[in-house]
Amino acid sequence: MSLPTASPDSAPTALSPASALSPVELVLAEIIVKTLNLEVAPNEIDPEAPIYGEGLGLDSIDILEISLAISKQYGFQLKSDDENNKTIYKSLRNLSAHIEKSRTK
Amino acid sequence: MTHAPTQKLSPGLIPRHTTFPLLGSTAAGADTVVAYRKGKAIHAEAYLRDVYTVAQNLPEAAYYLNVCADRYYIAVLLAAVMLRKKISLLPPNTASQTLQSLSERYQDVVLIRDGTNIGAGDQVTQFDGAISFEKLLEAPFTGPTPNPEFPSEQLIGILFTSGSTGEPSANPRTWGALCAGVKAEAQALLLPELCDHEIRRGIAVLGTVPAQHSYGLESTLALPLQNGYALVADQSFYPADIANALALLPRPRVLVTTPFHLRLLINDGAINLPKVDLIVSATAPLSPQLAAQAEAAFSAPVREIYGCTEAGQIASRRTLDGDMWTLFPNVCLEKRGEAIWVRGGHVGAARMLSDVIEIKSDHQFLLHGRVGDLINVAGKRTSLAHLNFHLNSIPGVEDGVFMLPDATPDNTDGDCVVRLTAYVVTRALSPAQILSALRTRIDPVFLPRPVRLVNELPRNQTGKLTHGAINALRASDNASAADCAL
Repeated sequence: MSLPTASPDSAPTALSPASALSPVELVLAEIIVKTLNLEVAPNEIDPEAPIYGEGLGLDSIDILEISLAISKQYGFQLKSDDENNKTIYKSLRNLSAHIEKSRTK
Repeated sequence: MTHAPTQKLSPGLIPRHTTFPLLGSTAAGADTVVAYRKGKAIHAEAYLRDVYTVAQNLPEAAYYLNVCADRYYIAVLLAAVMLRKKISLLPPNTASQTLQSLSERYQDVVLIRDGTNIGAGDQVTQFDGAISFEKLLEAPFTGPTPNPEFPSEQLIGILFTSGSTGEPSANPRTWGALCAGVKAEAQALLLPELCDHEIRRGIAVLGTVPAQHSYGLESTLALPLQNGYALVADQSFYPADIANALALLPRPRVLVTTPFHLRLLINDGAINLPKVDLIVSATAPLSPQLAAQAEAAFSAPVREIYGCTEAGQIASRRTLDGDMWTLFPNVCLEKRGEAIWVRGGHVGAARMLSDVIEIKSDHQFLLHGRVGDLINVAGKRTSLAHLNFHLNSIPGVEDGVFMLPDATPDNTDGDCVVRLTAYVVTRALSPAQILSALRTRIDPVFLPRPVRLVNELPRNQTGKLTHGAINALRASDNASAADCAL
């Protein structure tokens, strides 16, 4: 798996609190930040904060952009009829857990 | 595009005081499929029963704010409100401020929503007295349910566009204009040629755009109902949903979508794209490259619709045939000073267009972008003045301005969604607080990304931000151009 290249100012630092993002969550955070050109460092994203609306502040267009990036990176497609749909976007942590369960690469 | 309108068809001419049936004349049979919903066909008889049931069960009000997400429910509710001779309001988004503002402006309004959960789609915010659509179906109407005829001048509803102030502008759409427009659209898109007359099967029309907007109301809802085709009720949010939903529909089937959705569908590469019979795109110009890819991937022609909320759709083209747009039958353009006006056909009285248009002949023109400060993000139109009004209405914002990123080859077509930048002078607020305040005021697609805090805006003596000053501000902020290369 090739990691997305992070810009210098958004590279993870050793100063991240231990309770923050796990390694797989950090990779996902980097993909989201790069895909959406967000003004936040990936390791500063709160893994428990909502992704949609308040929190990370994404809208449905962003979610669609992310779905494309996830398909390319992890080899599976997000679908609306997934039974977990209500919880997937409650946090980056939930989305990451869903990806780890569904990924094919 | 070469298919000039044929002379025998003149759907654009609306005789005065005429009527149009709810289900178009070719769709008179009780067994005509009106919609596909959760994998099942809904026939005309069942649709009419639902319309009369909802009309009977609607609570008394003057206006009904239709924020349903299920396209079949939207179609039932619109017709039921017309039967009651009341007016539907079709909100441009479900931001709490939008719904609040509409409910204050239209006294005696009831908001009706459904229980549809749209993937990760926008959620309808809390609204006092909201009524569930499903409740309105509970006590079925037992009388006769003829296909109703509505007068041309009756309103199908009021559509909204962002005005130049905080208030959305109202665009009433008459039933006659809508019906005549979508009958003309069927001809312009050559849809009758797709129908299999031997088995009398209609066309299934799947849309990826909301039916509360002009394009969605016309092409995903009224087009099927007026021409004897079937709409698709279920929302398809993700590209995989769209592909799956299309594959389950009988052919002929048509995809009504946007350049943004087409790019996601094509670029994924791993989604199995089913064959369709026609792709319709609107809301922003489609690049010829993407149109060619889409035609190859779906084995279908890609045709674009051009229109606006004020006048409705007025022209179409096959993207790969070139830049030229062909007007719908009987519609004509005229230049008045610098502005271009459209009139005739289903449009009726002249309306001004907000695009830069070059008239090439009586029925053909070229499109050269938006006039003035109007902008289009993800198919939603607003003006910078409208956005600036809301930004400066936030307590704690001393001064603020929205800007578009510089045009780049990547963002001049509609395939990518371009995000705005806001420059804000404030001593009290963080970018996150500004975003939070804006989220209740404007459609999410216009939320600035990024918000830049500055000490002051370079206004001149009359308080204006000149072009040069704006460019200087932007030059000092080279991160404002949205990177949409994938």
